[in-house]
Amino acid sequence: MTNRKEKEISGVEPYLMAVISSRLYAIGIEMTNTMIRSARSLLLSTCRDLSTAICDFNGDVLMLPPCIPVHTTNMSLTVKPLIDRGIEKVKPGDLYLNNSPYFGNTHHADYTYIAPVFYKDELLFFTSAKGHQADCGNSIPSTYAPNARDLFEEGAIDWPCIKIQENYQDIEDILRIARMRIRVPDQWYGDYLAGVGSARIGEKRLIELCDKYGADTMKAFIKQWQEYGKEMMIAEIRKLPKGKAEYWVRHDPLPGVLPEGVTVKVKIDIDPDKGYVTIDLRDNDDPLPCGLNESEACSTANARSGVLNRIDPNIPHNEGAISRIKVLMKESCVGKAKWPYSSSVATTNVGDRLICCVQAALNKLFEERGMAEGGAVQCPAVSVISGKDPRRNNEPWINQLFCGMTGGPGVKEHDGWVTYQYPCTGGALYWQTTEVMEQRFPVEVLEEEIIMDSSGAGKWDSAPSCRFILAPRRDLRAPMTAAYSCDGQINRPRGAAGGLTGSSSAAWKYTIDQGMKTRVELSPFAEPEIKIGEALVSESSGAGGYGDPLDRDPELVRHRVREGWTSVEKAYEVYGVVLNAEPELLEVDYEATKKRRDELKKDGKLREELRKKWLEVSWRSKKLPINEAWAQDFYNSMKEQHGEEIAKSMIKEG
Amino acid sequence: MGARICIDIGGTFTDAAVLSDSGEITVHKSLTTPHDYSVGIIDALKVAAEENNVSLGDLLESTDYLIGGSLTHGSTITTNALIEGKVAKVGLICTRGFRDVLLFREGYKENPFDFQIDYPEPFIPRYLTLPVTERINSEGKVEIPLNENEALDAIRQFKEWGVEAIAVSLIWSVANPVHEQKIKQMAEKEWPGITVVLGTEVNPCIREYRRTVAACIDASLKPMVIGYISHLIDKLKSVGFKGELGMLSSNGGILSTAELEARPIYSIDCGPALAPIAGRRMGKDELDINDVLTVDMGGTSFDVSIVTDGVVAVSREVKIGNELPGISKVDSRSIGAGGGSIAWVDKGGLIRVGPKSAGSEPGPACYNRGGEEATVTDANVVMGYIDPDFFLGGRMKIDKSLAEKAVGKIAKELHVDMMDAAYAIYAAVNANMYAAMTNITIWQGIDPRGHVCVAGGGAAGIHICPIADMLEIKKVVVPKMAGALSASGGTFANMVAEYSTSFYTESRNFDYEGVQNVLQDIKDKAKAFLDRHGVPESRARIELTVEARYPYQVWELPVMIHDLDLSKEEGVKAMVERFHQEHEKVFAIKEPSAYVECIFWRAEAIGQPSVIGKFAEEEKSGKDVASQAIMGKRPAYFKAIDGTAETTVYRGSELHYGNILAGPAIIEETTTTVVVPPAKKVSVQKYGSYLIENGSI
Repeated sequence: MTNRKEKEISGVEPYLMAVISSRLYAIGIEMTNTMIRSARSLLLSTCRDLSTAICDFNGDVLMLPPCIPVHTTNMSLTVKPLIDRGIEKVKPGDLYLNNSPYFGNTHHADYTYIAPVFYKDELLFFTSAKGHQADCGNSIPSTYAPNARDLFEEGAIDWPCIKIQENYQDIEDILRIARMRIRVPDQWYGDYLAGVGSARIGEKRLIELCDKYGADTMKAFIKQWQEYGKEMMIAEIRKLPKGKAEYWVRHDPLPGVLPEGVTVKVKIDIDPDKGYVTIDLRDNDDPLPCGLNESEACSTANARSGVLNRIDPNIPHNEGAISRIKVLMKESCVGKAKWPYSSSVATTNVGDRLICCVQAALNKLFEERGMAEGGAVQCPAVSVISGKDPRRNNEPWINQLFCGMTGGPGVKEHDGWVTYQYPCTGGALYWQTTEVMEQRFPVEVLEEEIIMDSSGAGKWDSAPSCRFILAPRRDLRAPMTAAYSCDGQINRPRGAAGGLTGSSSAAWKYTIDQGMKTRVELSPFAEPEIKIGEALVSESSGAGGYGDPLDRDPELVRHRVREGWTSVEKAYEVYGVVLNAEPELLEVDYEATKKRRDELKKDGKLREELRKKWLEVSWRSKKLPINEAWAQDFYNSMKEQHGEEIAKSMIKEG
Repeated sequence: MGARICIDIGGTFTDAAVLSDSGEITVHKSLTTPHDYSVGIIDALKVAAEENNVSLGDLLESTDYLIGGSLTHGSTITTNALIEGKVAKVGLICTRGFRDVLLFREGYKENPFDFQIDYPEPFIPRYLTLPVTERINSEGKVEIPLNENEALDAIRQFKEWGVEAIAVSLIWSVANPVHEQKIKQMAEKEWPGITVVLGTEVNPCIREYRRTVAACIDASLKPMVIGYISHLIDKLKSVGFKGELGMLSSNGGILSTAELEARPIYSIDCGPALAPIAGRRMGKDELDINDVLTVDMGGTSFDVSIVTDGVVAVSREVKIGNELPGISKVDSRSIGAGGGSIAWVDKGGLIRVGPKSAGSEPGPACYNRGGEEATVTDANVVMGYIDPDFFLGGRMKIDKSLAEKAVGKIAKELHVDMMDAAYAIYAAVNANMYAAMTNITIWQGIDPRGHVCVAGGGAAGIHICPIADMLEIKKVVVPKMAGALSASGGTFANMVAEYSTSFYTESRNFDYEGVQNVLQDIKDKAKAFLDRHGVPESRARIELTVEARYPYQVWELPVMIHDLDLSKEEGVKAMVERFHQEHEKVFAIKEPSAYVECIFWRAEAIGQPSVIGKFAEEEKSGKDVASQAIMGKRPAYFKAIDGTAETTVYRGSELHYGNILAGPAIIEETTTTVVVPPAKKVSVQKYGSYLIENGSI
């Protein structure tokens, strides 16, 4: 009898595989949609810095709707503490909160709500809903604390996968702790309800699905679906060449804390025979006394993303598939988080550099889907801003912005994606609209436009940089604080396959009435108060170009010139394209272009001189450095990356 | 009593559906004439007159609204123009510092791991986007006055560059439109006759991208739509039409020509918007099923839409190409797959079909109008599914040898024989349509197997059976008027118009007077709309909705309020209670202690037609086997038997309620052909539709 039953459940009809997998996918979408639509903070509701997943009873990722890569290809790590501590303690109606980077979560700002899903007393699934909080109780008014020496200085509450609901009811004592330690408790509670609602709606739908198909079919499905993911990924890895490669990238120095910056080193090994890609992070340095340390979840997801960006994007991203990308790590700044070192900024910054490092390392092994390094992140356009709103009885407000940051790298056959924002989000974030921001907060956007000649040039250009200017509303007389961690002022994203380096980022402010000549450079990792009458200026990083700019389609150069992305001068000097510069009827002079390109290809010295010139033009941080220690860091980094001459000229300017 | 006629222009055919005062619907077809669409419209009307045995003049006279008739019209002309970029050159005036609103849109990339795509260009090129210094704040106060010199320079620059329309969309114009209005006045003075469209006029929502792109799309369509309508009315008058022409709109309703000229954005997809209305009707009337998947396959495109529990899916979040203007629109997904879709063999040796279409000019190779590439229709001719002598009831001759010549070229490239090449084309286009149907069903968590599939459009009857099998849909209905499904939906559509305004108030400190003013204003507008269209009170309805949210929330939920008195505390309380309930229903949570923010107020004016369309019910014939309708036999190819079978051909007009027939069979209707594969049976339903199910007789 047992045998017969085994046989019955081992096979799910092909059509049913399609229907159940689609149903699970749709449940994931519904979970995501529930969180987006009912959340209170802008970064959940309009920018969608959130993700959901359905995991199986082993805690393995079963289904991911489209979401934020750094949140999800690691979701099993976030759920696993429940299993490790004894799954028998988990009961129907429980709900858990995990935000601990030491227990499988990304960083403290990402709250993950996990609901176990029981069907007739049998645990079959977990639903998890992760959302980036507007505030997590840090010592500074920001969810990112780059300068925090440790967990204690960081100040966030650590919830190491703890129970917050029992029998579908809140455990009030825990919520009371949270309310005391969060700056805008009502907003936080609204987001809490959205996260819980999302996990619970997933639970409800999964139970309905079990009612329809039965637990046996669902269990058989789980097994077959993971197997299917595994087979798909192995087939994909078999298409790649066997080989090993190493690559490094560097995150900018933290003035006074990390004079060298953080170097990210990876070794990649593609083994098509066994069907594995292995990323070895064990050469990276010890944990650092700052908030830039990666957590296990972030190292895992970000290293995997670098590979996933370079293969067929339509492979199902379940555990069966993603576990074929192995990530080797130890407790280090690019590895596992070590308590009590801080991983406050683990998802972005160094994490973003890690993705770029992996995807660019693969350029050494194969050209297919080639990518340059993506933009460096966290310019002031994506600050956590806070203050008080005189329009609402001086209520305190806090929230992260997601806008004004571009950064898509040049890709073989395509220019960079403009609204890419972070490598760790893969362009999946939404872009905040000015009006919704101004309605919510007493601030005013003065400008949000791309910057001419800021793209990393290539046969395929990177996205251009964006200038974003934000000021506290003068008539309301309420200053604002903006906290950011602006990487890419020194270590600019490099191009690939002959593509050029992207422009640097910048953070500065000026007095509005006296104009931009009153420019004051701001520290790159800071939370300055912007006073009434002042404006905060953010210039996002460019990204690397892909392929030689002298091979770029002249018509595409013409188009970008007409649109104001590229100057006629840069078209001539970097792309070797000669244009008849009538404003509307701009035309390529093909004969002159051919001549010019031949000349630049032959005359290596001239070509390099011109490229150097444009590299200098795109240094956006005009008045660096800002202090002695910073000056030395800056000089050393510049020298290493771009040579002594440029380093000296930049120092002189400052 | 008058007749209700609806005309729908497709990529290949122009359809006319006539609902007579007896309640009978007939459909008629003529070729679409892209050089001048009115020619095809009048041709279709002539066919309708001829097939109804009346003169064209009498037919048109019977559409006079004074006697309860109507003549309405829908198309995808503007949708196609937008997708192909063949719209007017528009200049956009924006607030200084915000030239890239149309570039950034609202961010988002569907697959975060997919970088093999180009970033879409902004709807208006950046060089045609000129900034002016000005600024309004979120409370509507002028922070920086409009620099009129700059505005004038921008207008003159656009004049020099020869734009055909100007869109003006400024930050926070929705809180205070004074600068937008000033620029409009200046433009009209500086350049009399130029079309100027304001962001606040088209979609007065908060969120500058949606408002701006809606205004730009509207402006880009305006010269075309205005020219089109006035030309069409002239042409109709020249053949005796005296009434008011009604225009179909994106939300599945009818508008006057003046309304549509004022807001041409609502012409987008107005043809396909009617298909689910017809599909819902067929599902309900023939089978008493309220879950309907409606597909419409014509010459150029394949549209699919869904009705759940009797409600047509409508959304404000439907993208048009790459853009999201945020207007209410029937949720209809379209792919480039139709009879005219061109087949090709890719570099890897794989058969591909579409999205390029031969349209009606030159059309499929077999039309003998100069087309040389093989299309889906050519493949269907080769396989014996389409009878060269009975195409459009025999009114249009097609040439089988030309179809064979074109399909032969594909056969050569694929290194197979002619019939295998034809089947490869057929199977490839079916797979494309299957994917589109899973997109609107399975991917949205809807199991299609309990739905009835209503298949309309001239070509759907040939393709639907294998597609339904893939989806495990058990019941397929091909209506009598399948050949013109959208057009027949238009004969019983309502007049619908929407008026909205942004106005902020909180339930804890409710602005009773402000809300009364806002509601009065939009209700007046809705009432005026109904009056303009001569809708008597007995058939008029105004539905009021507020879009509300919890504090700090950003997305709103609609709550019905037309039965509440918001001038009193109890009314507001009831509204808040309704919001909590709605929030719990949609998102599984509510927060009863929180107050509610009211953002957006909307009035929908609905006018029902005087004749409620119904189908003519046929008498049950009593004959099970439809031998009286047999026209003969012809060879047709079926994969199931891997060869050609002598297939019985039935004349649709001779089939009656109660008749049953078995596959393989072909049913010839004048505007469509139904191919019934082996192991399927057809039973004729009471309103004349064909119900196709598995089984034999």
